[in-house]
Amino acid sequence: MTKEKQQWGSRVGLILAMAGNAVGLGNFLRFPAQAVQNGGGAFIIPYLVCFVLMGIPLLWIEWSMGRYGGRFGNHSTPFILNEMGKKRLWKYIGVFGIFTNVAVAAYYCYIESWTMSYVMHSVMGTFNGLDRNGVASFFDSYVDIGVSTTGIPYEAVIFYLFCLLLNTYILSKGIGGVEKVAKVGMPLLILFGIFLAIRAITLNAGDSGAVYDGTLGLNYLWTPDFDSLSNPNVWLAAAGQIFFTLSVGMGTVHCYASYLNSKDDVALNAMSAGWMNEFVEVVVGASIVIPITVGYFGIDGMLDIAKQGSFALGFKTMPYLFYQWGSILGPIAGVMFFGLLFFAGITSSLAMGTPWMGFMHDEYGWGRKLGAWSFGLFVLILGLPTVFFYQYGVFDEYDEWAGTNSLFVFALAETILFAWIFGIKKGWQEINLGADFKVPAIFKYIIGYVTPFLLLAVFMANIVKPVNNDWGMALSNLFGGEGWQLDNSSLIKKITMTGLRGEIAAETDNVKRAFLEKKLSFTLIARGILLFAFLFISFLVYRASKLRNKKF
Amino acid sequence: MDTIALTMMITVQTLVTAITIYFFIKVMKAPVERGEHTEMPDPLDENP
Repeated sequence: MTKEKQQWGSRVGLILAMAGNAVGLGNFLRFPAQAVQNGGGAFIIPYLVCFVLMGIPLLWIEWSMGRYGGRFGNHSTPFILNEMGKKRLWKYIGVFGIFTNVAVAAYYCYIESWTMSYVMHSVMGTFNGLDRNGVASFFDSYVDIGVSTTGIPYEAVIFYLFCLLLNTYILSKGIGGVEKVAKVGMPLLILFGIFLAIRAITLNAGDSGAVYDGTLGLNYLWTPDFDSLSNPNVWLAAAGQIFFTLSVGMGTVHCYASYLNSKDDVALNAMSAGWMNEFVEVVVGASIVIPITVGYFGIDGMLDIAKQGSFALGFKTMPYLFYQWGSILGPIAGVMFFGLLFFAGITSSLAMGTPWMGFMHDEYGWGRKLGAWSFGLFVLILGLPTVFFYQYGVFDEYDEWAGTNSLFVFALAETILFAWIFGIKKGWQEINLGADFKVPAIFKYIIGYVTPFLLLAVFMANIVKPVNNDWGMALSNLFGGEGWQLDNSSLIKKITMTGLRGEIAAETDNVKRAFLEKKLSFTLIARGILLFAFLFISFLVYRASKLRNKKF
Repeated sequence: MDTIALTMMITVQTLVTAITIYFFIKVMKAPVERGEHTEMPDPLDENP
């Protein structure tokens, strides 16, 4: 048997793969929606503050943890954390670093498959002649898998399977395959993004049916509402956006960094990949969707759509607007927009496959092909419920528990491990080992105190979110002896599903009530599936631990 | 566009672009590799 080295082919390839891991659909859809809802230009101030105090420290923590673990032959978080924490508990906290990836990939690949399908439909001219409602209905029909949009039965399922197969095939080529995709995908994504941003900014009223100038949207997006800086919700939204956009708290950064050489730089690499993500988000991502949507629907129209969420902006609106640009530019813009979303998606979903593969290889000796195909199968089993029962909230439930709360728990735990258990002194040495960039000494204190405090504050705020998100009123009620009233979107109320149960109790229409009751059942099933997946990975970690003990 | 919004946009976007380019150039100029490689043997590889 030969020993085949898995390592990064080039430093640029590593940076692009890391940036590709971070750059996702959120850069183009979530960020602009968050910005317009949270003070426009003023949002960027807490956003950048959180990037410096939470984002950059977490990147350094994860890069150096990954490289440290790789030095001992560990390429996934259970045994990377175990190596640093020396207590059994850390192995099981490390389970989050595999579980999150498998569970998120399950529904993320579904969104990715939509972008593939929308590229095809843009070329085929499916959206030509459809009005705004027609394009929105197309999306609803598409995710209601029983309805065929093109005559292909179960089109959404077919695209999902194809997308998963493509991901699995690339993963089976190892780190080299991931690097090649990043080297092609990232430059193309930026190129497509810049083209669309220029078109959006130069969109004039009266041009291609536009009612307003595209710059009106930029004006709204960048006009600072400084009063919003005193609103804690704006800071929470900024911290949340930074957290999701950098793909920290997932275990993918650890895995990628574990394939570095033992004294390779992590300080500069992390900065470069992190700032590349910021460029794609703040410069490119902010200049596409909002100006185009405002150009056609005005500010109020855009805000109405943004309130319905990112999918309403991206999949229910943009195809209709591109169609207004004519029979040549319209399809080209559609291909570019959904193409860039596809590249943003695939560079992230590929990253999600590597922790599982690294773990199965390290502990069970599985080769990369077996690792990749087993990942594909695991994701398929978890993912099919999100495809078949999308309407019943299975998708949202996965996003809530795997794509949101797991990230916070893991990031908080790893920060405490790095700064307080492994020790900030050793941690600081790890960050600076082989550094091609002098890390400012103040970050030693930021990593030790500020980052864990911020993470804890954001997580606690989500757990006890007050009714109507009104913190001032909630505090005044608390001190007035009236207690603390939780909002239905708080984590505690979500666990007990108070909101959904309330909707069922209030519903008088039998058909709607039956639908909501079914939704409640599927929500419980989704939680059961996720719990089973977590326990299954924990069992694999337990067994791997026993195998290791036998060896030594 | 309003002057304040335009100033805000240009300042932030220029700053982010400049920092991104600065770090990317720094990476390109830095030494390529040092230290030991992490090996990942492939048990499925049948070549002796």
